[in-house]
Amino acid sequence: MPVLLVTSDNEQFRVEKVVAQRSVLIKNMLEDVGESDQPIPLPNVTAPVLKKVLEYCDHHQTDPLPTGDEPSADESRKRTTDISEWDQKFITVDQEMLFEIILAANYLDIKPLLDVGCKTVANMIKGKSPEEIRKLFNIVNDFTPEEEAQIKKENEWAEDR
Amino acid sequence: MWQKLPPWVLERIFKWVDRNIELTRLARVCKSWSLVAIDVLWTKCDDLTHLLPTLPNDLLQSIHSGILEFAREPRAEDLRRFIFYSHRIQQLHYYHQLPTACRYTDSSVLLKLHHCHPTLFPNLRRLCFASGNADGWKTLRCLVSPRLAQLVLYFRSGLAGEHVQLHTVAVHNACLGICDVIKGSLKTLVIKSSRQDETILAPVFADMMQHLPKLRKVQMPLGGPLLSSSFRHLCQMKDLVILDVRVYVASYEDVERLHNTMPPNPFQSLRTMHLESTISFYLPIIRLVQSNALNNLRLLFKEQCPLPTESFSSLIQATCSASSSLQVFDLTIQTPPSRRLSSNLPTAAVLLPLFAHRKLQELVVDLGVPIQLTDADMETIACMWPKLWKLRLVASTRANKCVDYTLAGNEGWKPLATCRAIMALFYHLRHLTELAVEFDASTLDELAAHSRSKVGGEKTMSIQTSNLKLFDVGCSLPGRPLCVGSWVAIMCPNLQELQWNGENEGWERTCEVLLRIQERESL
Repeated sequence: MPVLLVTSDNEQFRVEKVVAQRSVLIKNMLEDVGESDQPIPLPNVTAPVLKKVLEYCDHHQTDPLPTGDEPSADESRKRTTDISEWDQKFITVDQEMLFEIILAANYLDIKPLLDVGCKTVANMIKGKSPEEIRKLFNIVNDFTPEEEAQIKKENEWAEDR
Repeated sequence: MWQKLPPWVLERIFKWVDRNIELTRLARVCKSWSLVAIDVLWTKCDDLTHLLPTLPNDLLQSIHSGILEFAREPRAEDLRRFIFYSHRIQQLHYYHQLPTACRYTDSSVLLKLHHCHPTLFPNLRRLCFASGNADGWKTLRCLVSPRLAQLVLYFRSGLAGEHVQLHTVAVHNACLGICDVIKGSLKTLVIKSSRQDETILAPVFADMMQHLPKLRKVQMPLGGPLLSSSFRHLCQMKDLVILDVRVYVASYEDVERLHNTMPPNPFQSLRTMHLESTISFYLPIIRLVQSNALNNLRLLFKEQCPLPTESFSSLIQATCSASSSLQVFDLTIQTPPSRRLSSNLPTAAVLLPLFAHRKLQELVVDLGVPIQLTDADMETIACMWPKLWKLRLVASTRANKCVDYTLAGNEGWKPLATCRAIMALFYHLRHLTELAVEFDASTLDELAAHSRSKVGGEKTMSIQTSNLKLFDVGCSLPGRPLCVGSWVAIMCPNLQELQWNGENEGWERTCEVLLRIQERESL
């Protein structure tokens, strides 16, 4: 049975239930409401972003659902480059879209998609200096030179690890 | 745009960053990223000296060999940056060292900081603490927090001479001193030390135990005059699910006192019990247990004298009655070598009570003497527990030491099971990766001949290769090395290790053949 999703810019998307339910948020909503043809509003997602997210959900509709066990920091640190070929192609988008996909995956509670987005950003960060990271993401340095020096000094122990 | 990412999403990104050095760079990008990066970087701390650069430059001075002491009295405001970081630490490894290391956090430094700020690590969930001297134990109270859920205590050096009492008192004071702080939160308590230290310190932990009501997992030695009260306390803990204890029984009176005062229905929530003790301690306790939760039992009994065969049955019977569905049953009995008639060895009948537990995944029964198993017994075993991945029925002591051949009037003890029984295990137990059983490998020729001359209408078993990774043949009779090696190689294509008991040229040569076949196949 198809489900009707309505984006923040009032565009409607009719998708198969199995695809929509990759989102834990939508799955819970459908379970709460029961059998109904009422549209589901998604006020935090725009149409272009939802289109992209649904493309991901459609491709991964038969994947097993995540168990909910968060990987430990040590485990997750070892698997940064662990992005499948299809996912890598899917996530090759401009920075703004990447940012929006991460926010949408977080809002819609699609953990595998959130991880693809987070890993992509982590890969972009690797090996770069603070200045290079600021430049890459257009971030303003709001530290005074003294504050930055203090942070550097206090965390120096981690520099050789 | 990126500065506005919610902190929990940013944290998820930073957790994928694989090196601490990257996190230190992220901490300097901007203020909002800095807080998250520092959170991730400091969650786990394995060296308290990392915190020293956060103190004012004029506060500490190095006196000699890098040992630090205060140049002036510390004030609360000196700890502002220290607290900024220490509040983020959730897991801490603290190894108190004697003042020989080049960078050394002296206990007096920690104690003074603790005096300025009573809760230095308020968000600490897991603490691994080790100390080899009395001085170090004084610092334990500086580290614990009311949110501590896991505490692992290591005793690093053997106690000897006049220091024993000093050290024991320090450990006792330190352990009891923190109970008030952690009694509401502590879920896991693990004590690790050498066997020598354990016997001395077991009474200390027995005392400590009684002040910690919310434990879910306990791993420690227990003993001394408080054994009965601390064990009774354990029995009644409603949340306790994992118990892993070595019990040092001081006297017969202690055990008698415990057995006479045991509460009804002990260990109501217990799922896992690992116990190292004696059968006389264990048996009266397990007879009181009636649990639907208990499914994992590992028992090691060290007995002073050999046991009669009937004791094995009553022990297994009592254990099986305590649980409604065992998944792991691991029983090892260590006794001095005894000489007994081979006709007086335990048979498959000792395993009968286990047949009620059809969900067994791990079955280890090491009675110190071989179990006489026939082909029919092995086939029953194979059909009875389809989920087994580990099956060990071999005595770890050499079987021929336990059996008196001369008295039996035979040439020697030999296993009754044949290669056919092993084929049955391979055929039925599809999940089996570890197998230890004894059999007569010289029956392989007979099996091959039997297969060649299939009698019309007779039911023959299909050949099924096994996923076995470890095959321990114990004191099995070896058979012809070339044939047996080839047979094992064909039947167990994923085998990584072949083990046998003692020096046996036959199995040594079989192993060589097997390795050669495996090498050729890998080419």
